[in-house]
Amino acid sequence: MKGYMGKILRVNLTDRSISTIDTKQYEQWGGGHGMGSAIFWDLVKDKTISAFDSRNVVTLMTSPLVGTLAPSAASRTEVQGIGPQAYPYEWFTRSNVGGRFAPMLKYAGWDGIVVEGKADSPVWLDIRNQDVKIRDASSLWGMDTYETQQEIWSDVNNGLDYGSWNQVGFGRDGGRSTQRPAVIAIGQAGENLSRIACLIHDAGNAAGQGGFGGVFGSKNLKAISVIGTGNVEVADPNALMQARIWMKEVHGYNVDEPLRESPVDNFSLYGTITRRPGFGALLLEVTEPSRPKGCVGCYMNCRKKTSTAYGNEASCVEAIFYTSDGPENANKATDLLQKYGINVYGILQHGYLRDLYKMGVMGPGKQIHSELPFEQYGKIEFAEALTKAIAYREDIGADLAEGLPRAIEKWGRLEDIESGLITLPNWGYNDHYDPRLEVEWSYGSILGDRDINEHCLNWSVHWLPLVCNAIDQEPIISAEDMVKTIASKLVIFDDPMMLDYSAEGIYSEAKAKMIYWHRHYTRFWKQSVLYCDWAWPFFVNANVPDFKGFTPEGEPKFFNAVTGSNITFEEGMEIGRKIWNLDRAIWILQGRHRDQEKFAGYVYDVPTSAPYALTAFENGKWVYSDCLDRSLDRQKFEDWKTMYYKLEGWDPSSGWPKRSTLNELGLGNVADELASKGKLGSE
Amino acid sequence: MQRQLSDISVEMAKKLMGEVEFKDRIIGTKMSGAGGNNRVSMYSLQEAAEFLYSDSVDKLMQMGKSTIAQIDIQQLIKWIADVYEDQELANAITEDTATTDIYVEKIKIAKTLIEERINQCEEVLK
Repeated sequence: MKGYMGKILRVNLTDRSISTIDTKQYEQWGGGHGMGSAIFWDLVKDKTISAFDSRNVVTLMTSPLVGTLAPSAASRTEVQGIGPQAYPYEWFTRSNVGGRFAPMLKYAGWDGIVVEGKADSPVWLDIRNQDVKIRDASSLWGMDTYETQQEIWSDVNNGLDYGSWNQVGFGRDGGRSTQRPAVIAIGQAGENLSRIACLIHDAGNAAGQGGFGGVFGSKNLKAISVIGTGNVEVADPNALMQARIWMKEVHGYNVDEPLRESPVDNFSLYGTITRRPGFGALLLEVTEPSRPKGCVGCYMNCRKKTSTAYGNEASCVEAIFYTSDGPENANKATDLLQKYGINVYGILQHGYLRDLYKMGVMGPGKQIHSELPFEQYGKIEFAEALTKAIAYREDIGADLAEGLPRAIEKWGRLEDIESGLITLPNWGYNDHYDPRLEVEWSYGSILGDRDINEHCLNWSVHWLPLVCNAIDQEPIISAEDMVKTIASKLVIFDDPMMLDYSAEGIYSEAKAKMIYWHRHYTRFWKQSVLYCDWAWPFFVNANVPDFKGFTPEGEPKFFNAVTGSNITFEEGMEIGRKIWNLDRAIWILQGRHRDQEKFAGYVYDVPTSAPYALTAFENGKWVYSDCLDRSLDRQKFEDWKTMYYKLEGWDPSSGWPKRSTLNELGLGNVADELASKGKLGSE
Repeated sequence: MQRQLSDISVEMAKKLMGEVEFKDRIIGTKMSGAGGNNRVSMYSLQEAAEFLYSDSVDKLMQMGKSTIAQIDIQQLIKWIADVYEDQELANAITEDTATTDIYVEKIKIAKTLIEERINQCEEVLK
């Protein structure tokens, strides 16, 4: 198939050997996550090792669409391996980062990178097209992620100014580029093996969840730099161009004559739906001159570049890390996270620390001794002290670097997680959307390895009605039309009840189908083909009369144009099912059993108290319900799990896949491995 | 026309500018498109005023590009009346927020009134 570069770079840091893997061996998985899981399966014989074990393998994979004109699909890198962040088990996990690292990797001729072993001293990986060197990073060790990247840019570009023509590669015929190399790096948090350390690329791009910064640190790997001068061969360039034009003309936002106008002047109608580009700030008001910033090949440009450079290009959740001291200091706090390489989700609930301080439990001479300046909580000084403490493992930062749940366990306060004083609903990950209500998110997370962070349904079924409620306006689409529109796109089911978030609907067979669809969709189309989470799937489109977005037509259209294959949306979903089952097998070898797939106590015991809009079938009609006073019922959730396991072809008593299921997916070898460990589900 | 709150004593100003204990804190939820929901504990009127931030209606209409400070307005009023014992401010918020059905307008009104009280306190304590 076209779109692939044909080779995956394999680097063993222990013996410092560099080799290649033929991409063809793994093309059946599509790219990204599927390839990463399959490679991990093949190379890591003992899946029970810890994240910081030198035998842990980290993959950074691209997809055929990366580096092409495929919209919002040209820039993502999928990172996988055993991650240290999840609690209490270090699951095999994933993270994902945009920017320009993945396309640059492909322009250098690689479909991905596989990192094995552990260097005996700090190193960085220098990739210039086909020239690959493991280089000494002793002078970089101790630097933050920005300094590290600047040093590497200067080194690779021979000190030339940005934009100057530079000879690429160590040979004579490497080609020339005006580009800086794309660098992915760790900061001090990663060096100090924090479980909440992330990988930072440029600014505002992070592989945050999972703790891969710490894994890089454990391998003594400071950074990977890549610059390439090649290109990606597309099977049918005309079809790709036509597909992009189709998307714009049929589904795009008409700037001059929008189909639907806002009742409020001067705004972009439901930004995410219309995909009007160039919003600048994603979350916070822009208080200074800025311009839009996007990843390679993206038409949405969801980030911003500010004139002060504070918080540069950070517009996702890291931008709301610490907002209580004004916009400028909010951006400074965001920068601190990025420079140290700290995953914001690992410390977003810093208010919990302040709660402990106010309770008299934490502080100088208290049960949990800390000299952090809690009296300055809310001011930038506290954020500076907190992030530094985590990055260097000082004060309570030594505990927090292990992640909040492990710190809480050490402090003997696990009841705070159970009570919901701190909300870590699944695997020790931070609360995202309400796990008691928006269950495609929570069920997907507890059945997997982390907070899924997949906004596929969220924008339409929750955020749109929530915003409309807050401003007392009728949603532009009724609840009934909303669910019917989305359901029509949920191939192969087409069942509106899948979108029912009522008190009964969240335990229904239809909800099992919803999770089944969602897990398989994201595993293939989103995490393997690498369509961006912000843009795909596209269910509801305000730019067309019938509100129908381009899913499921768009996904295979671009994939087939690039690769020259002819797969259907459904066939992609089946590959997603295969990947989901392979991941499941890895978790089972790590010790997964259905008994572990339970939420923190508060999810069951503490009812919701704030209005939370979701589509629901209540009293015989579709409404946007406020879902008040709801918690999850333990027994009903267990019963729902049984229903879901059966739908997946897993043994409901254990949650383990059956041989027949794995054989049907062409995973007979996986079944054999599970059987050899006594972990195959009963037929 | 903006409501004028009555003058307050130094003693009351000190109380209103102080932090409450853990058991007396008030909890809200900051909702954002990307970040989801985050619980926020508030220990002072200043923190409550900071929390009661809302993007403009324009920005709120841009899905995923906004934050909403979610709090039970009645609970907020009760907190001000019971914990800070500022019945006048509590009454003012009750009356003025009743003039609109729009939630984000209600929290803007509450924010403005709390900020006005804080300004008064700062003047008194100069």
